[in-house]
Amino acid sequence: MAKSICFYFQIHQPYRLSHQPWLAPKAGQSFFDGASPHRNREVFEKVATKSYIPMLSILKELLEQYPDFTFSLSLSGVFLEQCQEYAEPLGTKVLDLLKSIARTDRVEFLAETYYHSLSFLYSKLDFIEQVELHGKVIKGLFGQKPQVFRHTELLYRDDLATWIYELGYRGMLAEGWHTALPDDNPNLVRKAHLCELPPEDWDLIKEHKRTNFGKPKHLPVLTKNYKLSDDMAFRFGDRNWESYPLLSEDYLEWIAVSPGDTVNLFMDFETFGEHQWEDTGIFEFFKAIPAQAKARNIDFKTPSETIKAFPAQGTYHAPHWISWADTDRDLSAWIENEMQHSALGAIKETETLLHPLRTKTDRQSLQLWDEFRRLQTSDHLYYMSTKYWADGDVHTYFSPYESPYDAYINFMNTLTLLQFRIQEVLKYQSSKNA
Amino acid sequence: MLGWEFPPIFSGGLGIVTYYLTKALVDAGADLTLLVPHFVYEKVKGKVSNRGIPFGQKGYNFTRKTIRINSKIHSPYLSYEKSASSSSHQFTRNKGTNSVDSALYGHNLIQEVERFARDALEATENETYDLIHAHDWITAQAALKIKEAKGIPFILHIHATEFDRSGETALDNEIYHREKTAMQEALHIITVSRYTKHILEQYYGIDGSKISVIYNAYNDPLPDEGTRYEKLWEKDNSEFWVIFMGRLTMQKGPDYFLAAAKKVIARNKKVHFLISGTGGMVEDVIHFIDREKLHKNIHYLGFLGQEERDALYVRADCMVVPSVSEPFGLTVVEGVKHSTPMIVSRTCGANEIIGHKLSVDFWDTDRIAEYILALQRYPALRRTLRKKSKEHFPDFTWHDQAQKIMAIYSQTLNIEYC
Repeated sequence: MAKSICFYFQIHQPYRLSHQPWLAPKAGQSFFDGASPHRNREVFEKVATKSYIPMLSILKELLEQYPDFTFSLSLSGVFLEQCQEYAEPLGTKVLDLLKSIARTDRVEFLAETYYHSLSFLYSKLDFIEQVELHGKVIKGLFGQKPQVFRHTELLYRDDLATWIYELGYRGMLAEGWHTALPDDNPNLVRKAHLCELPPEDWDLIKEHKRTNFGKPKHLPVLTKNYKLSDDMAFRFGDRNWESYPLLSEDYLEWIAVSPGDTVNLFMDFETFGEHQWEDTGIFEFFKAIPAQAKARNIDFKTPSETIKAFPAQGTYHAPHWISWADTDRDLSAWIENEMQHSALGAIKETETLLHPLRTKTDRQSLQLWDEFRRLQTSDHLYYMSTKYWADGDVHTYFSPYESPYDAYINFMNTLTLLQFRIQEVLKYQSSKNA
Repeated sequence: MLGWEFPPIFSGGLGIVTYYLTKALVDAGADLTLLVPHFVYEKVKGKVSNRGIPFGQKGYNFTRKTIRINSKIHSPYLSYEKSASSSSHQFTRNKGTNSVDSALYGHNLIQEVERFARDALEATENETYDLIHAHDWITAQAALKIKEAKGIPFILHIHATEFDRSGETALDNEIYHREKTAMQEALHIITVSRYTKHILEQYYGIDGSKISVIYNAYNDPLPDEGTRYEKLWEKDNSEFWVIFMGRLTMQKGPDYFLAAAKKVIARNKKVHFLISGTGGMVEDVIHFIDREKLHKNIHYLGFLGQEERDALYVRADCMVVPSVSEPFGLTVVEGVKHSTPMIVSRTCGANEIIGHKLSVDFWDTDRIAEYILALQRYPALRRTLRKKSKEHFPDFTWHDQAQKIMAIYSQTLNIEYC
């Protein structure tokens, strides 16, 4: 069978936090407007202009032009909310483009946590509720029930995979990292290494299992070819790169000689136009890919099609977390220093506090849950990372904060204020009941 | 080498720097003679001899000689100010070590500088040297005189400029011009930060190619942390201590420290502010505490000796350095070395080598207060700052810095003689 390319693009926008000073808390102000010069509306509109709209337009054209062309998308719920919140002038445009792409029925939408969170690490219940919420929203907007799961930052561990399998998903995406692969080849479909789960997990799984006709024998795992993915996502515009400037025919030649069934190219959607600016030629480069692939008898498949088309060979085994981030490919960008641990602890604490409101459907309770979950978006923890905070150096990583310390302070101030609000609501409700 | 402050009489960073730098240079092989003014003669008498203290390590042929030149003034920063001690004020945590004297440069400072220059020239009349290394404008006049007499090059080491001390508007023209002339006449200039190099380029019109940045090092041996320090400063664990260390002059921003303290105390009475140091603004500080009735939370400690200072760094929960303009900021490095969580003004040269701190604009007392309250509220914040700043502490020593200066010496001499 011909070799295929499996594209997956991630679209996500966090709700950056408003500045939350302790001396003068701003009553009535939303927690989630962001702070100048990173107001969420401004960031959204900048990225929509530079990346979402031009690239989605290109993808739409390619779908029309090449009947064989396809790809998959994972859209975080908080991104979709921003499309609606910042509807004019650009949000609706972005959403319409996505809908028209969905209408072709040739593009796959993947499952993830609505809030782009790390909830699996601290609350299985909240995790599954966030995944279900995401599924509902995708179904509502695009008429598709997600079948393949990818976790925030492509995080993967055997117990998570086991959960995903037991919940009834048909596949999962992961980083093609050598420690988990049996033979260092990311271009083959793999079987997840399923493991024992603690008894309390089973109750939750039973309750939230998706109705599927017939459970597959195993969970197929598609692994990212990080070398070829990063050539496009990171190195493409780098003038010091030995392969600069990269031509699409050379790139497809690399894909052609890369051994295996499927070359899985997983990356941030913002690669196009935002990480790699238009003047690098990234759009033109991408437009030429389908024709160059055709010339080499390489086709395109969605994750579900890839799983169906190729037999799973060997086991993907990850007893420890693997992500697609940094050179460490682990969790350390989100959970490493004491501030990040403390923030996670505060999140857990807040969940316990909120628990009496879990099944409530009044507007106030729903809003508190939404605010709490927006605070779970992994980006907030990432901004607190001190890993790349070199001596006296300016911060080179992407963050709306001047320092990881500012990120932590603002997050904790916000979460503390939210806890006050929760306590007030709880007090009010119990007085009402009394 | 021409210095101005030197142990045991010094009130600022320059004295400490001169002490370690000369020691390291002698170790690195320099045959060095140090000329310093002989302040408050009575106090030093008996502790150090007047001439030729052997300083080098065994095995070196070279020693550092110290020539102390008698001076009429009583402290390197002497002044018309009164002494810091004020018995009417209750110092809750005063350990009783009030400084020799306080404050900014005095009335007759220019005269004194001239006198020092004349005497320095006289004292070196029969000696031969290859080059002169002078610190700040205050010794530059002497350097210029010796340069002229002996025809040898001079290197100017800038630790502070008139811009740092007085700001752009209150600039002393006489001093500014003396600084500028010295900078122009120097064959090469050493600054203690890129921040100061930038000031030289921007405000003095000095060509950046003749300026090298050499940061001050810090390699004081640390005594055992813990028990001994705890005895020095008794602290109730429910209290949160914020410290200010440095001369009490406009340049160091103690007024911003007080303004932030007031904002914090209004919110949280567990936070205590401890001010150590002397200078022209001592009375302002004391008046502020009286006026605002903040005796319970703001404590003026007077001048502290090395051990008390070190102990306080360890005991403190936070240190604020609100300097208006700080060429380097040795106290910042000291604080970081003792893992004290730091809130540091952006206009401070030490920022260039210290990564993990909270940065503020010196005038932004709201932000300073926010940071203090956050440090008090979130233990993980101060623990991460303590841990990371320790991990990332700059690893160069005075020995390394002396090597760089030796390289500048030889380069300078080659240029001169080739």
